[in-house]
Amino acid sequence: MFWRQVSALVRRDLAVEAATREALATVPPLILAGLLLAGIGFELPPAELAAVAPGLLWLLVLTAAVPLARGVLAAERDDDAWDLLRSLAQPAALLTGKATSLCLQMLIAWGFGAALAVALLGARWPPVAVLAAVLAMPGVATNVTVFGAVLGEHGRPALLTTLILTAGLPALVAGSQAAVSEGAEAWLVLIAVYDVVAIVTAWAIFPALLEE
Amino acid sequence: MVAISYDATLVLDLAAAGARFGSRTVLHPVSLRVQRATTCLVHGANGSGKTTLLRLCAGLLSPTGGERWASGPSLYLRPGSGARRRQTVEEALETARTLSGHGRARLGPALEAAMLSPLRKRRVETLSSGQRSRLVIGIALVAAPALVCLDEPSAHLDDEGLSIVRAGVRQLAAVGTAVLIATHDRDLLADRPDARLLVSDGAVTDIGCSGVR
Repeated sequence: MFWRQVSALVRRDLAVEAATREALATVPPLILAGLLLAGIGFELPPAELAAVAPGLLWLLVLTAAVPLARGVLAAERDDDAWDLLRSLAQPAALLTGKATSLCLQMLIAWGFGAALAVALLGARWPPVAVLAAVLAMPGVATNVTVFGAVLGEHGRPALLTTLILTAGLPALVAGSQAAVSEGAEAWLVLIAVYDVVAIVTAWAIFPALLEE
Repeated sequence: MVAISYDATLVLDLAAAGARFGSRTVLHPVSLRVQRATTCLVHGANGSGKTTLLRLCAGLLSPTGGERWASGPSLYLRPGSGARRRQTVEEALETARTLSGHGRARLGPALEAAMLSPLRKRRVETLSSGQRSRLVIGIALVAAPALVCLDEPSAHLDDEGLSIVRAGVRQLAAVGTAVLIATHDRDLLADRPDARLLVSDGAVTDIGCSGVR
């Protein structure tokens, strides 16, 4: 039952995104603009520009998570659909479903940005950097889901941005370092710990967040 | 406190459950036992506490005092709720069906019963208010949880829509779902309801029912 509910929620969110194209209209332009402006504005030699690209991309993906967080609760409330989800889905399934659809969207955003960074900034992505992104995104998406559920209906984008960037710092640092430094294994371990802490914390507190 | 109970197998038990928003009491403690396959109409003036009572019964609102027990999932629906605007009618019902754990066989009959089959590929945002009210009935039928709380389900409905609501409530009761309905229409149901509650100033002040224990 748990996985059926998770699967239903993910399919529903992705179908709604396919119909609304809200993320598509927001995230790619934000990442494109960020990378372009960095390339023009930083005035760094090509080698240095390539070196800062992983950190810059992580920063842009975390920033792009702010509008994506609307899909957790605010958009559901706007459509008066949130009560149905709270009524029928187990809290853990609701958390997992929402986090999974966010995770998929953020991974696509990261992949899009990574390809752009190669073209615009000359970035290089060793396989371990891709692995780091895949590993880190569940933890980041889980945090975004929790913050979206807490702040989604209060319309405090500045606070939401601050929380997402702060909570995403370990992913930003580890994901960036895994791309550019030696000893990537240690950074992967940090990402794994980050995921576990984010997911366990979210599972513990999410049911309380659903209460009125 | 008003103590209320009515008959059949228990799906909901409120024991001195009340609700407060801050320091303001919006629903005084009420004890209420709802049995499966029953219908109950909840009447009261605007702002009397009907919606709060239904949300408390559905488990969306935690009681600030007392306790709530339910035998299974409860669903609270008001006209126009329960679906994303960009979903199609079929997708909205499919979501409710899957989350409820029912098989695909439920989808077609629910669409038919709510007279939504011709609209199945239409986006929810393109439906009229009355059609969205019928969608709520379709969602309730396809989910068929232990308890359905319908808040003003007859709003925006023409005669045909009203008969769909009546038939839908009858079908829900037939499969064992208990149905609580907040309405100003004392004759909303064609059949006699199993119970009536009157809510006034945040208190359940009166009850008429056919199976009091």
